[in-house]
Amino acid sequence: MTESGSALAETLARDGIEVSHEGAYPIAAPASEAEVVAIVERAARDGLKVLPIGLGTKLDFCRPEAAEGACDLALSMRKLRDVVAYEPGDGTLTARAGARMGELARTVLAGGHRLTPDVPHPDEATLGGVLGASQSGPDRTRFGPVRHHVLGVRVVRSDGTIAKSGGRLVKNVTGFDLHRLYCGSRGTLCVVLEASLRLFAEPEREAALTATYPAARPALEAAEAVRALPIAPLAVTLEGVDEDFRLHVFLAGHSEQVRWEADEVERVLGDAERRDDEGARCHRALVRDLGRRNGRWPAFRMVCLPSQLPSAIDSTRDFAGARGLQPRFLAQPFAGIVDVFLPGDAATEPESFVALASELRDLLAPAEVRLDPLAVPAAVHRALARTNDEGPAARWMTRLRESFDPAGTFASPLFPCRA
Amino acid sequence: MDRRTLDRLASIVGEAGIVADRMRRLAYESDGLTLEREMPELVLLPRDTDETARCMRVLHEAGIPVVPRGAGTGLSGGATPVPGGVTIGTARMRDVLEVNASDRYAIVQAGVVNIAISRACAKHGLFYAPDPSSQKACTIGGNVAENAGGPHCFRYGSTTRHVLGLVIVTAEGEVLDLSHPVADPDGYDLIGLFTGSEGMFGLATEITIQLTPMPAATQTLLAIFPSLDAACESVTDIIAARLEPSAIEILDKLTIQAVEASVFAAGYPTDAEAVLLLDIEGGELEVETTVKGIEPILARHGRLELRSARDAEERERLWAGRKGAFGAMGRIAPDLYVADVVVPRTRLREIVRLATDECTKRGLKMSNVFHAGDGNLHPNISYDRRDPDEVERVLAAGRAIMQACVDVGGSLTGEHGVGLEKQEQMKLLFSPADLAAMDLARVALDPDRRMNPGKMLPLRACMETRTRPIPGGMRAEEARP
Repeated sequence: MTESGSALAETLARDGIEVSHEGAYPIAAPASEAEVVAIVERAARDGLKVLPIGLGTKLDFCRPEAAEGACDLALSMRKLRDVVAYEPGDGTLTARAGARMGELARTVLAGGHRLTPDVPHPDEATLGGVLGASQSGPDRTRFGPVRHHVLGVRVVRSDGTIAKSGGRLVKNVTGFDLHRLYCGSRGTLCVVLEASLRLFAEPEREAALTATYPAARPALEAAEAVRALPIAPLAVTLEGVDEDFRLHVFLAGHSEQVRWEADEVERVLGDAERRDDEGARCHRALVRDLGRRNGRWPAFRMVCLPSQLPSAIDSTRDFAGARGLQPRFLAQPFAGIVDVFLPGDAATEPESFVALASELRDLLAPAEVRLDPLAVPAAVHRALARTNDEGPAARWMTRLRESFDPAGTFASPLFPCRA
Repeated sequence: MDRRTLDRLASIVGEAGIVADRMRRLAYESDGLTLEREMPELVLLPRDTDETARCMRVLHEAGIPVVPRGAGTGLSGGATPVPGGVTIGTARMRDVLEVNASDRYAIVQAGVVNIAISRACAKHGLFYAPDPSSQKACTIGGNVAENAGGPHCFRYGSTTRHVLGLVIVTAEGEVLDLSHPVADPDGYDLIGLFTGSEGMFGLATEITIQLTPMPAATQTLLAIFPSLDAACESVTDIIAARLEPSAIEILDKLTIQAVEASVFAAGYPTDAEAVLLLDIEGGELEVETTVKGIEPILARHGRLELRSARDAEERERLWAGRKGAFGAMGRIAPDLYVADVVVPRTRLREIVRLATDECTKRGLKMSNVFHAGDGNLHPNISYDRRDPDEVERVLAAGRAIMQACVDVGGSLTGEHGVGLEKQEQMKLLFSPADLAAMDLARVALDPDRRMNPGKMLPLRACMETRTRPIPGGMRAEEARP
């Protein structure tokens, strides 16, 4: 914990703002927008670094190193969790950043709507955290990434001013889409106060089909056959390890259509286990929650073209296997995304982990497979972070960050570029 | 512009890529918002990214403002030239560079016409979903700049949901290659920020777009109504019932009559007060179920007749009428002001009435054709721009309609962009702090504010300035090489 962070925490506590000391830095939990503004203004004035968080479940994605003075205080939005407006007639929802995704999903379900993204462990995920990490769930197969459905946001900028972008309308091109920029910016540009999302109709019926395969490649071939069908699955997820892979296909929609689609998918998959309605919903939740296993996020995310998935998974399996590691994969084949879980003790020797990550990235790069570090030691984040002189894209990102946060108040030293 | 600069530009693009002659430059003095006109100093038509980047570097060194331009079909003045500025058009960048059917994307040059993309990938059972009414003329580069919409964006979303990658030439002439199509950005979502930025961050020369599988089944319905109110209320109820057609469009009586008297005649009944045009797409059973859900809603609101397109030909004719509606308005008056406001979908009827009243009390002729499902209204005011008094009344009505939309939680533009037309109205919707945040992005990516200056952001609020001709410079035709 930094000295200045402790001093700020004490001052905030004296002002009546809740501050806890659970980890490497104090966590302030403001109870109003005015308190959020006060914290940011104070930090900016004193030259301190603040890390905006929700419940702190995704800190691994971009962990700042308090020991190096990269973060003085975390600002948790967990107490600002109201629904600002649910408009069933318009199919939109506006909520504060600390609202739990599970609560929001239940709120709109009462009006016949479905919230996307359906993220792992939704009662432990806040709206602001999901937007900051641009986190998706398996339902991105049908709905796409969350940034497509953010209609607008209100934020606190690094100088403490409140600004909005977009609105609460399902169609709107007025002004720059700053809300899309903020989505996935991991708290480096602003603190999100509230956001509006587009909703979808809750389906009449759901079905789930699961088939088992001895390797990733035949499972992905089956996924490709499903993709060729004239249907739009809600989610298609591949998960497995070693010689044990399962392909899950989730369908949702009008009753008759879902029944027909389930028959078609069953025909393609062959020997598949089929679940309907409540069974399908429970199974969907189980598979969704595999995104964070035993409290841990995946070590890496591979992002590539869907056609590159089989070779990306095979290469990673072989590479890790040669080093005595057995990675577990969780993939969204239609999106070209694979999460890679490594055994819990893989990170015990950070130096060898850095070497492994760097080599794996180099191995995958020729096939244009991108390797993003998620829950890995800070040293790996540092090793894989790009620097701001690595081309025009990095320079644009650096310029945006410097423009939105000239004093460097929002702490996240390795994203999007190494500071 | 000095001769040396002109010579350098000419050596890059060649004779075919430079428009210096005054008569030829006249064609570039406005886009579809003909109320705003300005003669560009010079027009450049580079052939590819490399030529564009080289031109941009020369213009950067000379400090000359740049206005990007696609086909010039925009309706908000986004491509209106600026004094002393150079317009860079994408008319010669018309190649479809790659169609990848297995990964469902295409890479095209910015000047490719919207509908040409769907034609290029139709043999693979794929199409490009955003379908602005001008899709037979507008270019994908312009679509990206304005985040263009279209009737079927109700289901598929606007352009931004379909852009997977971009090659951008920056204000300084650097090439930013973000063309590789992957699911999530590496760092900030620069592509999402760029889309809809109205040419103020740079110029996109290549676009990687997502292709969508053609639906298994499509049914097109035409519901005929005795009143515009009833048509609007039907739409509100369809949305509230969470039914999801892919397009929901309303045309009022004046529009119907103009369409039916034009080459776009679609067989709409000319005595109807309004028609509702719906496309329902998806699996066959899904389409059947959705239609069954919609029919009683239409009946409850007193529809006079419900037609269903019998085949693809009839479907195409019904949609040709809708998409040709703006063109057909030329029969009513020489000029057309197309407003583009958005309201919550529960307030459709109220705002349509208000727009009618605002025009009626100013003695203006207004027709309605709009994307009802998205709450995106297009009150179209027919006028003659040679009549200054009528022009003033048109602009006043436009302002009143925008104010009314903002008052009910709506917005200034759903798909046409802000451009010059709605620039001052930005202050109705956004506070100085909101606009200052937008300006942070502007100055980060174009510190000299040379890319499409004087657009979108209100002039004083954001230090945005209208440019003036460079003193002492010579007109392009005088300095022609």
